[in-house]
Amino acid sequence: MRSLLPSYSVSETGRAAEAALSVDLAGGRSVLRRQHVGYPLHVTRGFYLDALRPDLLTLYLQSASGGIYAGDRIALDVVVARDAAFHLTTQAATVVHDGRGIGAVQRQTVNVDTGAFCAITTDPYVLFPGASLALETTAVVAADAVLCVADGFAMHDPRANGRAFAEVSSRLRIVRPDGRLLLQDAGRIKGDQLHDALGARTASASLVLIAPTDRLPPPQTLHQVADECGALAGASAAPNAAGLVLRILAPDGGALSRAMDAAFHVAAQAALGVKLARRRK
Amino acid sequence: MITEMLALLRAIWQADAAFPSGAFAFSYGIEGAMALRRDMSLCEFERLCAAVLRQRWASYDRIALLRAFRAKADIAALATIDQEVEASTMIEALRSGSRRNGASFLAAHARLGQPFALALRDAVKSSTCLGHIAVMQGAVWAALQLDERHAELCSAYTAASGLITAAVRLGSVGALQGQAVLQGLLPLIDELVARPVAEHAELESFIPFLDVATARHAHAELRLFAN
Repeated sequence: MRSLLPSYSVSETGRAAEAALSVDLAGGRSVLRRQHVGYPLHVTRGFYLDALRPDLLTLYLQSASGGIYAGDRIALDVVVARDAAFHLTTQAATVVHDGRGIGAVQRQTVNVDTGAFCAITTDPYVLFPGASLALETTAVVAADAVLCVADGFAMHDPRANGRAFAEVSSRLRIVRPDGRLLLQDAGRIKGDQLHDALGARTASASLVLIAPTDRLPPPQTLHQVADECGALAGASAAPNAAGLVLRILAPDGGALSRAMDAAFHVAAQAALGVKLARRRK
Repeated sequence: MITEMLALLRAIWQADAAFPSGAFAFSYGIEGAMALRRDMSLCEFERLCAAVLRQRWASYDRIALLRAFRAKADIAALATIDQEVEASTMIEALRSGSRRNGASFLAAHARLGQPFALALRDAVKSSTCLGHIAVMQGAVWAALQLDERHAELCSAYTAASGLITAAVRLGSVGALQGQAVLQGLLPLIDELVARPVAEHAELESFIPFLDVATARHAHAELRLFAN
């Protein structure tokens, strides 16, 4: 059994939730070989949604508690074995509540073995006033494997009293199995400084596609499909010829979510060679 | 060792726009941003420049610069910093622009006979180093015996003045308006440089509007700047 993520310091509030999912290819289908999901996380049964890729396993990750709260420490460990194909997504946006000065952390470790396909696409985190969220993803991706990671956030001020979230930070580090660093995308922003960093928009996401060059979509196609959803996006070759990076800005979480979904389908089609079915949510 | 005054004079020399560092060829995303927001007001432009200093320079360029400055002319250490900058710069036009700017900066110092700049230029030619501008500035300014704080000020000032010069050359901002913006940014530079840097600070940047603008602008048919 793979070890779970490093232990967190004990906090008086919040929860330490851990989930581990291992996907193998067996009998022509990708199957969950091992599953450990602790409260408040929950995964649905596996779905095989794609007639053209019947081996591709899709799971929906859900939160049974109504979002992320102050002090939450959530860890997710995903292993996709040789030649397996796996898509992990969420059923809806995740609300992030007031961090009360201690914030919340969501960590992911991902290992994508040779020939495998792994997509982890998370609907936007909805940052309520005072929310503080740190997202940390570390991935090991084999040279001929594909990893697509998409996540983002939208600011939400339900009472319109001008109170922003406290801070959101994100750190994505992707290496090859030999430890060679492919890319590291790290940044943080305070809610009251969001306006200028996002060009007067309130929602932002990134999609990173790690794949061999011949399995990448044209960058302009990626940004065009996001634009068609009401977003403003820009795509670029990733560092070290690792793949592509797409930045997306949107006026709200709904447009952001649609743009992320559209971009994921373009990325997946290029990587897998077939058009994937719509993921119902 | 050189005198304090000579170190200060060298810092002024390096911050002077007349020094042929090659920076004039780069807009650091401003050209793309202006193309997306043609109605950008002067106030919005000033806020965007402040966001660049706060969200990119202070947590990214400054960190790379300081690490390089403290590397004590160790080419292998500089190569490692360079690789980290490469891996951490998501947008291709900014990555290649940073390398090209670094090469121009090195070339100027090499032609002026700075021995470590010559060594670094060889390291870039042999692909030992990539030559990102912040790394090259840190390394060469340490060799020129600038005070570390002055090197940070030089870096921040040239970043701010580069944004403004680009906007002026694009015709988006008047020359005097640009100087007013620059004057307004000086207290922010002072504040940012005064903040301590953690020993193992990572390179962090978050200004997705400029990333989007730069990525889109790389495909524009007509461009004045390299990025």
